[in-house]
Amino acid sequence: MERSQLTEIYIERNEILSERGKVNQGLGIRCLVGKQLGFAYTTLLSKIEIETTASLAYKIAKSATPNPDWVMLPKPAHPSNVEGIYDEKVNSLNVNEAVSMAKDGLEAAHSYDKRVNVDSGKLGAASSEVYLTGSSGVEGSERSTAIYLYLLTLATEKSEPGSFAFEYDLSTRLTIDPHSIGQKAAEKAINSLGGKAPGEFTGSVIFTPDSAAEIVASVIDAGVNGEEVYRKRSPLARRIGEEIASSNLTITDDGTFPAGVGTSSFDDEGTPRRKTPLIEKGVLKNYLYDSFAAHRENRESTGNAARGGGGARYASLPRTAHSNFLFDEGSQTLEEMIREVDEGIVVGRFSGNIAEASGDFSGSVKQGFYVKQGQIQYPLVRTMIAGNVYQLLPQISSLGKPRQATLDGTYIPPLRVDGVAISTES
Amino acid sequence: MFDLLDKILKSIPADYAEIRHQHRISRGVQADDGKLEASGAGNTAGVGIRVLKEGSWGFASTTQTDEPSLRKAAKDALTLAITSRDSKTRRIELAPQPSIKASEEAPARKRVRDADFEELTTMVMEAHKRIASVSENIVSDLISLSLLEDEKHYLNTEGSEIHILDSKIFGRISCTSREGTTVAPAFESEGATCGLELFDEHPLVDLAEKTAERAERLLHAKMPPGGEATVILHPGIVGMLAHEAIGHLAEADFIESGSILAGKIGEKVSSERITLFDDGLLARGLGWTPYDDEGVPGEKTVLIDRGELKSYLHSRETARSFMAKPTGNARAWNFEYDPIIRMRNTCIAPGDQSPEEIIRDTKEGYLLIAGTSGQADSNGEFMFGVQEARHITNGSLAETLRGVTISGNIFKALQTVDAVGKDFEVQAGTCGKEQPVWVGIGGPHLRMKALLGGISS
Repeated sequence: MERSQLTEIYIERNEILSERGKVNQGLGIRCLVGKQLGFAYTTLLSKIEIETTASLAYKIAKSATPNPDWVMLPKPAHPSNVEGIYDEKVNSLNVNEAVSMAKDGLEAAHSYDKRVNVDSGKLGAASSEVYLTGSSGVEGSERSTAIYLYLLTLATEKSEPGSFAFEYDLSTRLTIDPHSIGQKAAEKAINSLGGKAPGEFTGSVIFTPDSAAEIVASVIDAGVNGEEVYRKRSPLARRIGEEIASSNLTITDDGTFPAGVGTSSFDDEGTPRRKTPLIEKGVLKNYLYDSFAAHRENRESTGNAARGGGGARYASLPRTAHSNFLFDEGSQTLEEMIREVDEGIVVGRFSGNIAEASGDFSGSVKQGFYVKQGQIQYPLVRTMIAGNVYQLLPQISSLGKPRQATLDGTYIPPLRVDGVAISTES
Repeated sequence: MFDLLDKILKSIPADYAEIRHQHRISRGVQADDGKLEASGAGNTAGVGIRVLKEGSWGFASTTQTDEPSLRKAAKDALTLAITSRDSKTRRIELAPQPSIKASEEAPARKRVRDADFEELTTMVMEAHKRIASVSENIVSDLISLSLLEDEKHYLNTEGSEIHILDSKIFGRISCTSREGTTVAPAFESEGATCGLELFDEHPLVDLAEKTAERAERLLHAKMPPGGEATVILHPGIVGMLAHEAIGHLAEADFIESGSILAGKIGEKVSSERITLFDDGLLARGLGWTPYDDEGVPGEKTVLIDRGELKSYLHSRETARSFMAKPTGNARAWNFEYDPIIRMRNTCIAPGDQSPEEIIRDTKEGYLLIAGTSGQADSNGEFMFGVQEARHITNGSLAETLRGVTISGNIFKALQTVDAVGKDFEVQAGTCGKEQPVWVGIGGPHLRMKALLGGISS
């Protein structure tokens, strides 16, 4: 069962467009009869409605065809200790305060420079209470909060637009600073004015946390998902113990990470959250599983069952997904990393295609800069990169610091890859 | 239900307010290669409240439908409208709309709430078996059923009280065949505003067989030559063009942000053979919307009348800024969303020739049978994928082709329409624009010129 409240403020074309306040609660029942599965949910929570929902879930299970892959549900276990995932200040944030935070961000962007337009943005503040109980004896309850603001800006000078700039922050606590998000969004937009195309060359690419999450993390995330491995869609299948990346790459799924966006004491079917090493110094260590995917392959759940995927969590069955996807930091700042590049580019954002299964990517560099002899020379336009993430992994020459959290709980620092083909759009 | 909602509505000190209660019963069955993946049942009830205060909207929703929770939602909606007002430059005004008291019910003999899961499961498994029986070359199939029953209560401060009982049935089948290195996908769907009797009239096994036979046929099909060609479009593809390439460009919010149809009311935009409408009342169309989510009647809106652009699609808000009448196109996916401009059943009107005549009368061309997906830009450029095509020579159907695309500029292509069938078929579709919605798309067979291309699959 989950009860959530959500306030969303939408920004479009330099002003607040609309706003929504949502309260949503409901209960979902997953029912296993032998190897037959049934599922039903309801937002009506009277005793009689809940009983009707339970008997419907049972009826659905009885009429289902058996699935031999069903082995068992999670056994009872002590939930993990976690901290920093609930902030009363976010929970009690009222709609006036939410609107004024969105306005702060908007005004900070506008007052930074007159050439900046805020194309769109959104402030979201959410709090949620989850209760879970199962006939196997699992039990748990938890409260959590999250707040984020993002702004998409574009600067135009003499009717020449720069490149769309994206800036955001998110936190489980009321620590985001709308003013600074607005300023940084504007600064990025201004810095991209007057771009040039560098022509074709092979050089170093520094991915910022945003573009690294989009390209590198999303591919590895799909590759280590037990569901993808089972369906033979992952190039990482049957490669546990192999060196698949440069030795400076270490990735851990940690559902207990303090104040993490994906942190909870138990997952969406009651298995305690834990820390699972995925890649250690370049060597593939584990895949992620929920209980269904784990038992099918004679393994243990890694506590990675997740429900929802856009909609309410009570209204869907669990699937395997990461909790907090943590990349270890390196020792240099982004500025220090740039200083070591002989010739290359910084990729701020990426707009193109990423085939998560194969790892192929190709598309345009947004918010990019050309670097020569350790110095940023000019912002980029019409610049493309293409390659394959799995082929790039052994070529990661360094990781930087600090790491940044994305909206889906990926914590990633800037990273540098050498020998990437850079080209100009025709 | 109306009493409590009315009480809440009257307590809101706004210039205008509306309250929507929705109770949705949903059923879903999905089988992946004959393995039942996710059967489920949903029961969702909630209220959305939208208020207008000094030209600023505020919106709040809740699944807690007791009086104190509804009062809190009403207050939140009002507070949002007031606090955001000074960061909005535009002051919203609404086009006038007479108040309405009405109750409408979708024709449904076998109601979704009474659906028997054993019957649904059997139906899906039999469809899977039928697919497998068509050919050993079919290597995978996915069958899904989505059923919804919506009961909606709508009230606004101008005195409207509308009750709607809606029922949507949707089935989709996809399968993939393989021989050597050749892979051929095919899919079909069937959907309507009605009850589960839809599958008595149009058995799912037949749809399964049709899809599987296509996948098998396409294995041995050739790729088409590229270039400009005469094409006869099947009603499903005509509907896709009507919705994607024309309908979206006529949505008033899209007109405001730079659609090519802006400022063209009264101008000729296509061949005189084309009449295009969007109709909320089309019987059984999946976009059946007798009243939209602003309480505006869902009448038929003619967008193009014999080649001339007549109207855009409006909400009350855009109707006011265009000095037009609201057209009943403000729709919300559920109570958690505020209504935005959406199409309903978008079709091209039938003409006077039989499809057989049109084919007989075609010396050299292609019959395009089923669409896949496509895209259209705000300037009218479109590209659609076609699952299956037949070559036409000297008025007869010849070999099957696969991997066909058609593209061009829709308004230029519509100038070349020289034959419109007297047949008429409406298909079921979904459309995404911030929120999903179910729509009908359709028309007759139609002949025009377009750029034909080939893609390898």
